[in-house]
Amino acid sequence: MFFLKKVFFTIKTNKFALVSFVFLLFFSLVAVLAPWIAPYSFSEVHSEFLKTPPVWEEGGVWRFFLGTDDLGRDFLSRLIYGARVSMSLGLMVVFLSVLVGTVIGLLSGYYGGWLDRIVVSIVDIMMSFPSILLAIVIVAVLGPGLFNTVIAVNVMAWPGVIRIVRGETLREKSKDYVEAARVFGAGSFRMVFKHILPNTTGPLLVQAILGFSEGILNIAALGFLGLGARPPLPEWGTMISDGRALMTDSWWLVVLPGICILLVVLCFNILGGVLRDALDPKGLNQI
Amino acid sequence: MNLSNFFFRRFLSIIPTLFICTVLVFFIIRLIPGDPVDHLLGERGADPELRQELMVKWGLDRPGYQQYLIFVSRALKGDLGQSLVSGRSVWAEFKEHFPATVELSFVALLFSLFLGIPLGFLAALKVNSIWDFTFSGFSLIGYSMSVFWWGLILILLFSVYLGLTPVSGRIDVLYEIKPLTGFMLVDSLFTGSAAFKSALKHLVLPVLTLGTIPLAYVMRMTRFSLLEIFQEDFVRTAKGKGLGFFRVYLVHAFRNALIPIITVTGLMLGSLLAGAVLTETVFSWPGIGKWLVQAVLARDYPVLQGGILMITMIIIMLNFFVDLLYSKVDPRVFN
Repeated sequence: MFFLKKVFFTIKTNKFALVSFVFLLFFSLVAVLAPWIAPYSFSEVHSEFLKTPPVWEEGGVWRFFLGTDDLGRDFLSRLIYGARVSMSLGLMVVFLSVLVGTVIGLLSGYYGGWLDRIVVSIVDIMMSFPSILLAIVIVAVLGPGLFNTVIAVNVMAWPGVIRIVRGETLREKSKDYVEAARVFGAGSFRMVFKHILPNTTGPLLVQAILGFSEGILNIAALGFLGLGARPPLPEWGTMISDGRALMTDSWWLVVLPGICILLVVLCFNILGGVLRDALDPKGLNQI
Repeated sequence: MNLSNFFFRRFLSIIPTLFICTVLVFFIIRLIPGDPVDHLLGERGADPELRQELMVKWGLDRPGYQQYLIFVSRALKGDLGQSLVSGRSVWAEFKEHFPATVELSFVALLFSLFLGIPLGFLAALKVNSIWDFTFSGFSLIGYSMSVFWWGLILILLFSVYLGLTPVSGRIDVLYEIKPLTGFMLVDSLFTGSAAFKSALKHLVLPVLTLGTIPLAYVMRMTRFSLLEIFQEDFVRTAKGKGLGFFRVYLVHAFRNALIPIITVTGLMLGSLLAGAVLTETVFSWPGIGKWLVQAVLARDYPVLQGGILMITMIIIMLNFFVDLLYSKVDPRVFN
C-alpha cells in the first residue's frame, strides 16, 4: 500500500498532475455515463438539421450545442460516445499489452540465455520499424474492425513494456533478497511472480499510463486510414476522417474530435511524466 | 576494440536481423485472406485455366518455403518481383516513390533539429523561466497531437482561411518537371525559379506536419540532457578556469549533450517514416507510405514484401550509421 500512497501523494502535491488526473476522471465519467448524459443517441438522425454549426457560430441552435454532422447527428452526443469508444479501446490495448509484455519481459529477463537474445533482437527490430506499418499489415491480415485494431495496436505496444520489465527484472535479479528467497527454496514461478514482479510496479505503471496515450493515438490513426471503427460507431479518429471532406465549410467536424484526443493524450502524458519523475528519480527509464 | 573491429561486429549483427525481418514479412503477408489472383481477376472469377496459369507464373502454386527461398535469392540479385496490380517491377515503383518520402522526411528532420536544438538549449539555459515553460508546454502539446489531425488543422489555417499554400501534391500541374533526381526541390530548379517556388510551397505544410512531433522530442531531449550536464564537474571546472560562455556551453557542455540527441534522432527515424505514412495520406504526397497503404488494400504481395524489405534495410542501415556517428562523438562507446 506504500506504493499507492506514494502515487496519490505525488498527484496531490503536483498541480499539473492533479489537474490532469481530475480531467481524466471527468473524461472517464463521461465515457461510463455516456448513455445517460448524452442529449441524443450517437446515431439519431435529425434530417432538418444538416451541418448545423456550434451554438456560438452564426446559425447555431441551442438544441445542438456543438452542431450536427452531414447526416444531422448531434455532434456533442457523438463526441461523448466517442469518449466511450476511444477510452475503452485504449484501456483494452493497455491491459493486453501490459499482460503480454510483462510475462515475456519477466521470463526473458529472469531466464536469460537464448530466449533473452531472441526476445531482445525482436524487440529491437520492432522498436526501429515504423510501427504503424506493422499495425496496418496486421489489420490487413485479420481484416478491418474494432477488435482487430485493438490487437494490432496492442502488438505495437509490446516492445516498450517488454523492455521496461526486462530491464527491471535484470536489476532485481541480482539483489540480495532474491538470493535469500532462493536459499529459502522458492521455485522459479514464485520467485518471478511473487518477488520480482511487485518490484517492477513503478516503471510499469508509468509505462501503462504513457501506453494509454500512445494507444489512443494509434487507434485514431488506424481509424483515420479507414482500418478502424466502422460507421456509425463514433471513434474520434474515424470521426476526423469522416469530417475531412467537409472540412472547408464545417470545421467543427474535424477540429473538435482532434481536441478531445489532444486533451486526453496530453493529460496522460503529463500524469505519466510527473509519476516517472517521482517513482524513478534516477531517470533510468528516461529515454 | 578498435574502430574497424567495432564496425565489423556491428555489421555482422545486421545479418540475423535481416533474416528475421524477411521471414516475418514474407509469412505474415501470406496470411492476408483472399489471394492476389482472385483480386486481380475480379470477384466473378475467371476460368480455372487462366487462374492456374497465373498461379504458376507467379510461383504461387509452390509450397511456402520454396516461395520464400525464391524470393530471397531473387532479392539478393536485386529483383524484387513485379507488382500484381500495375505489372511493373517493384524496384522501379520503389525508386519512383522513394525520393518523395526522403525529401519530405529529410526536410522535416532538418526542421526539427535546427529548431529543436536551439530552443531546447535556450530552455535549459534559462531553466524555470517563462521561456522554459513556454517551450516545454509547446513540446508537451506537440507530442500529444495526432499527426493527421495536425495536418488537417494546418490545411484549414493556411490553405483554406489564409489561402497561402496548396492543399496536396508536390508541385503545380502546369509545370512539367523531368524527374532527374526525383527530388522535386532539385528538379524544379532546372525548370525555373517559379517552379521551384511552387515546389517549396507544396512542401511547407507537409514538413510542418511531419516535423512537429520530432521537434517536440528533440527540444525535450536537448533540454533534459543539457540540464544534466550543467551539473557535471567538468562544466564547473571549465567555468572556474574562466572560459567564456561560448567555450563552456557550446564546446564543453553541448558536445556531451549531443550523445542522447543522436540516440533520439536515431530512434526517431522509424517514427518519422510512420508519421510519413499518415502525412502522405493527408497531403496526397506520392511517397512510400501511400504506396504501401494502397498495396495492403489491393493485396499486392510483391509490392508489400519488397517495400517493407527495403524500408527495413534502410532503417537497419541508418541505425548502423547512427552507431558510427556515436563512436565519432563519444569514443567511449567501443568499450
